[in-house]
Amino acid sequence: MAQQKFTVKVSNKYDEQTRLAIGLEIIEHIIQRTQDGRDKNNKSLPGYSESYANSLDFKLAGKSKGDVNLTASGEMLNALTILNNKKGEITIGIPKDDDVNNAKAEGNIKGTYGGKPKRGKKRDFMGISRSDLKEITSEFAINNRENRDNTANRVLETLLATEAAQDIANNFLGDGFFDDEL
Amino acid sequence: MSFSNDDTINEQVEKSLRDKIRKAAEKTFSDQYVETLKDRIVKRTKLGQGVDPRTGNTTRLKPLSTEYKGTRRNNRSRLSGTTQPARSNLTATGQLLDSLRVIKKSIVNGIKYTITIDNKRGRNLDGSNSTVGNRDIARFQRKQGRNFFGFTKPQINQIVREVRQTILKFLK
Repeated sequence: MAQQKFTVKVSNKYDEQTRLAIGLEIIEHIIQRTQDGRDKNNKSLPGYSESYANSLDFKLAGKSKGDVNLTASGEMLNALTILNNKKGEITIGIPKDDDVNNAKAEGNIKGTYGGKPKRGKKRDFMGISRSDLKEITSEFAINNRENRDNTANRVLETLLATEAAQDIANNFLGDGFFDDEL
Repeated sequence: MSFSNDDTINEQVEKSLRDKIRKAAEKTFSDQYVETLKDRIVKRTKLGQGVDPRTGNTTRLKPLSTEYKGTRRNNRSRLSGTTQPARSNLTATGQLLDSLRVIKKSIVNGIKYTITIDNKRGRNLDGSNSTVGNRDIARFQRKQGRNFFGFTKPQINQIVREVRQTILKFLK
C-alpha cells in the first residue's frame, strides 16, 4: 500500500519552528476544507453512491446524503501529520506504517475504493491549492521587522499550545485512563 | 522547547504566555468532552475499526468465523440494529459497547477520568443467560485480534488538535 503524502514549498527563510506551525495550519485547513465538502482544489467532492448512502456504515457514521465530508469514524483525516520538515519544504501525509488509513486515503484520492477506478468519483483531499497555501503563509510574513515579530508571536503561541495540548492529552489519557484491569 | 527567534520575544512574555496556556489547557477536559471521547470509541468500533495495542494504529477488526456468522444468521432477530450477521464490529447484542462508562475521581492534583467496562451482562445472542461478563468478552476479543479498548493514534491526534484549538481561541 503506497503512503499517501504531499510536499509544499515554502520560503527558505522560515526556520524549523515556523515551518512546523505552518504545517499544523495546513493540516487544520485540509481537515476543515474536506469536512466542508471540497477537494484540494476547492472543487465540490462528488456525491456518495446510492449503495453507500443506503448502507449500514453510512447510518452508523451519522452521515447525510448531501454532506460529503470523507468522515465516518474520523480516522483517515485525523491520521494526517507532518512527515518531514526541512528547509524550504513541508511534507504532510499519513504515516507509512498506517496501512488502514493509507488504503482509505488512496481509495478516495484515486476513486478506486478497493476496486477499479470509478469515473467521476475521485475525492482528492491530499493537498492544498496555491491560493490557500499563500493565504496561510501570508499570516507568517517575515518581510519586515513588525511582521517578523508578529510571526514569532504566532509561532510561539501555536507551538506552546501544541505542547500543552500534548501534555494534557498525556496526563488525562495516560496510565489509568483506560481501566487496565482487563 | 527553544525558538531560534527568541531574541524578539523576552523570557517574561514567554513565561506569561505559558501560564495562560496552561490555565486554558486545564479547562478543556470536561465531563462532556470525555463522554464524547468514549462515544468515539464506540462509533469507531461499530464501523469495524479497532486499535493495534502495540502501535496504536487503526486496525480493521478481524473477520468473524464462518461458524459464528452462521450463529448470528440463526439469531438474526436478536442481533443489534447496528450490525449485520457477517459484520465484525464487536456488536452482537450491543451489550459490550453499551457497557463503556466514564468514571470521574477527585485526586490530589485535580480530577482523573477513567473509561471502564461495566461487567454486568444480560442474555447472550441465543437468549441464554450469560455466564461471563463484558470484561471477559473484551479480554477474549483482544486475544482474538479484535482490540477496541483504547484510542488510535489518529484519535489522539484529534484530541491534541481540539485542545490546541481551544487554547488558541482562549488566547485571542
